[in-house]
Amino acid sequence: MNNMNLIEAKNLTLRYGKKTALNDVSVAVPKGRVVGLLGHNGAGKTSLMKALVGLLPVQGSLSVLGLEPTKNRQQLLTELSYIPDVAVLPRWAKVHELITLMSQLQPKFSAERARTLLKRTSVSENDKIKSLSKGMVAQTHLALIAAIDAKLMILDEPTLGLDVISRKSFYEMLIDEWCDGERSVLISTHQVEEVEALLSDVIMLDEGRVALSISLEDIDRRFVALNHDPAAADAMAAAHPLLRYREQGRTTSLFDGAPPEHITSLGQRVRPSLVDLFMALTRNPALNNKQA
Amino acid sequence: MNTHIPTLLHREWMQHKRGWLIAAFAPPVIFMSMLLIPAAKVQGLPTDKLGLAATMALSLCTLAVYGICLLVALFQLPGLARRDVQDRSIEFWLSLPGRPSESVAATVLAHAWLAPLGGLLIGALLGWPVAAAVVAKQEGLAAMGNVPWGEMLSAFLPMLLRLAAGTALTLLWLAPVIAIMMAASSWLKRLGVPVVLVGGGVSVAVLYKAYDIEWPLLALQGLLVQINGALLGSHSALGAALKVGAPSDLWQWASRDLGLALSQLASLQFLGWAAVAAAGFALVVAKRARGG
Repeated sequence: MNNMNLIEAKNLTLRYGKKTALNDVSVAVPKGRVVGLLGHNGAGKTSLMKALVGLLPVQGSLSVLGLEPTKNRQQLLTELSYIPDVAVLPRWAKVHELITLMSQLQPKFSAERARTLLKRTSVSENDKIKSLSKGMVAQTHLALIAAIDAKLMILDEPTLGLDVISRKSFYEMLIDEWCDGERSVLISTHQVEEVEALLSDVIMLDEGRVALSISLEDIDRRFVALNHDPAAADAMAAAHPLLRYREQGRTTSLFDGAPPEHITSLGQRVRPSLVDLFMALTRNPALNNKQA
Repeated sequence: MNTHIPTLLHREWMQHKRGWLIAAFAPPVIFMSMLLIPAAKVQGLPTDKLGLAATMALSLCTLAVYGICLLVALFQLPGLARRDVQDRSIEFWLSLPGRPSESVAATVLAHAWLAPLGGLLIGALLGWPVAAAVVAKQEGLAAMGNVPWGEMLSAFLPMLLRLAAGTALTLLWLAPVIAIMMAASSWLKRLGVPVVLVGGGVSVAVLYKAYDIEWPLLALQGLLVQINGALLGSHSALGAALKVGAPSDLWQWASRDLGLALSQLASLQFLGWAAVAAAGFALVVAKRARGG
């Protein structure tokens, strides 16, 4: 394996009957990164996540922490932290029972660390999962898996359906307690605005293909958003922007690469938001083949 | 290979301990509470043979608790194949180290072997105060001193150990039934058990009555005989040993009867049913591995 990459996927393809869930997907996640896996519903995010943890066999080359997920699934699960969905903790269990079970099942799990992390939340060890709100269950789950001494955390829509306070608390805990510059996180979501501030990199999936795989620094370098007056709209349109949208009464045109010189002078350069880029790259199938 | 089965058995205890303890403790406790009612009377026990009356009470208590625990477990098992899918925690369990085959095996072992075995031991332990209470109720407290408790223990122990060993053999012979029911439940959900029971019954009846094919009926009848024999091979031999009443005769009976039951495992019949059990088990595991 490439020592720098915790995840290395090349030309992954996965089909459910006639439907192609992943189509020639190639991505890499180096250490110390917080990577957002963005995509609409049905874009292939969960299929990719399940392939990464060995739950789905895929065609192509896939290495996670140097292991082939389907062949080394048991070993892989001892090496990473994984939340497969929101609020999937067993409802019959008490929190301390889950700590006991995870201590016995997961060799890198620290019960002491889990207890410390739980103190950040309003959840007590004697609480039964079924008595907790969905947001509290999500935080409990994060506290449990963040207590695993792993290099990689994989989160599949971990805050779907949670209210804004729960989502914020979840991501605060994730950043404070997990991200240390050495460990990496891969978060799949379609709540793009929520995670933008956390991310160092982004992978956008659209209909099973990688629409974009890039660091946020490179987004600023590669994509140009020009905020301009309505009078410049025709000239901007003639330069074929990826997307045009209205922002604070003015129009912004988003370009992949530097627009022509005479166009640049017609507007003021602004930072393109991830949401705009996501919209631009995943709503037009014709643009899907444009790889980073 | 590292096994997670002890941990998964612990999980079964955490999840089901309340039901198991109620099934084991409630009948003797309720019976003894009823004996405390002044108007309550004990009828049908020999008044002239206190030892026999006490032994009957002890045996009835032991067998009743054992039977209840075994029935509860067998009634629950098909549904347990789907419980983690029903509360969505299957995603959580699949995100942890531990093979689906280990989870299914732990469930079967806990419910079809350990829970009835625990019931047998609790029934046998609580049988002594029940027997004492019955004697006291019938003949007064002073009569308890006239009961040959030591002789009772000598006679009871071989029978208890025969039942305990027979529980494992019963599980082996019940395994095809349990596995097929669990597979039906996991793949066909609520319809599974009725489909197998009705479909199986109708198929066997049609084959026998309409086509004169009797081997399925004979196979099922043979299986029932073996399930019975796993716990008690020969009623008449037990009766004869009890009549003699000497502990050495009872120990001889227990070892002979157990040996006979063990010898039945070295048969084509057992191998055939073991193959059916393995197929059912594989179906349950396959469904669990797919996340239900």
